[in-house]
Amino acid sequence: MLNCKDITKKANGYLDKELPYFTRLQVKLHLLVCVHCQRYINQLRATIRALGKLKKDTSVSGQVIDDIVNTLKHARQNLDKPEK
Amino acid sequence: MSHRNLPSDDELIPKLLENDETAYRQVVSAYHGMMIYIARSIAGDAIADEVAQEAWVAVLKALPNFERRSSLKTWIMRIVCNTAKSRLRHESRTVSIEDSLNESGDMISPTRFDERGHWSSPPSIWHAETPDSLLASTELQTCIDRALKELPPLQRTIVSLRDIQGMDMELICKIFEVSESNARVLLHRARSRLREAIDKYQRNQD
Ligand SMILES: [Zn+2]
Repeated sequence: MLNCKDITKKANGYLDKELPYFTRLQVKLHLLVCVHCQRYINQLRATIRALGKLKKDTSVSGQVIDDIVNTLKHARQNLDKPEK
Repeated sequence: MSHRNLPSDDELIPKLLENDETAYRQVVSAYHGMMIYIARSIAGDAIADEVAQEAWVAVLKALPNFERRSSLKTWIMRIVCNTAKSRLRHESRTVSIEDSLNESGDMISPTRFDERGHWSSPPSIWHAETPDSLLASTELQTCIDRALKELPPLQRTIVSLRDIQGMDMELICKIFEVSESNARVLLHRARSRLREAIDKYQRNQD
C-alpha cells in the first residue's frame, strides 16, 4: 500500500499520466480513502492548469524582425572582410 | 509560435548558407519570439533582447559547421540557451546556474508526515481552488509571478516552457541537454514550489 508521502512523490507522474498501470491504480485506491491526498492532488492540478492560462504570445513585431535581419547582414559583412 | 509557412530544414539550410535574406527573415520570424522567451527565463528581462541577438550572430557564425544531428530549431534554441547561461554566469557571480539535482529530493518537507508516511500536517483548504479563481486575484497572480522568479533558472525555464507555453518535453530535453528523467525532476520540483507558494499565500489570508 502506498502511504501519503509516496502519493506526493507520484503526484506529478499521476497528473501527467506517466505512471505504469499498476502504480496508477494504487494511487487511485489511496485517493479513494484519503481526503488529504485528494486535496493535495487537486491543488497541484489547479496550479499546473493556472500556469497553462498564463501562456504568452511570443510573436514579435515586423520592426524587431527587420532589426535582427539587419544586424545579421552587418555581422556577415564583417565576417566576409579579410583579416587585416 | 506559428511557423506553418516555414520551409523544411533541407530547403532552408542551403539558403541560409548562401545568405539568402528571405530565408533569414523566415527563421527569425519563426524563432525569435521563443528565443527571447527562453533568454528572459534564464538570464532575466534586462538582457534578454541582447542575448537573443547575440545568439543569432552565433547561429550565423556556426551554421557552416552545423552537423544536423538535431533539427535547425533545436540547434538554434540550444544556442540561445547556452548564450543566456554564459551571460548569466558573467553577470551574477554564481559558480553554476545548473540546478542541483542532488539537493534533497523531497518535494515536501518530510516533517509534514508522521513515521508511517501519513500527513501529520495535511495540506490546508484553499479559498481559491480552481485555476480561474487562482488567477482571478491580482495578489495571487503576483504571488505566482514572484514564486516563478524565485525558482532556480533551469527549473523556471523548464516549468515555463512545459506548463505555461506547452512545449514538448522531448524538445525541452534536447534544448537543455538534460535527460528526460532529470528534466522531470526539475519540472516536478518547480511545480511543488509553486503550489507551496500559493498554499502559503492562502494560509496567510486566514
Ligand atoms: Zn494520503
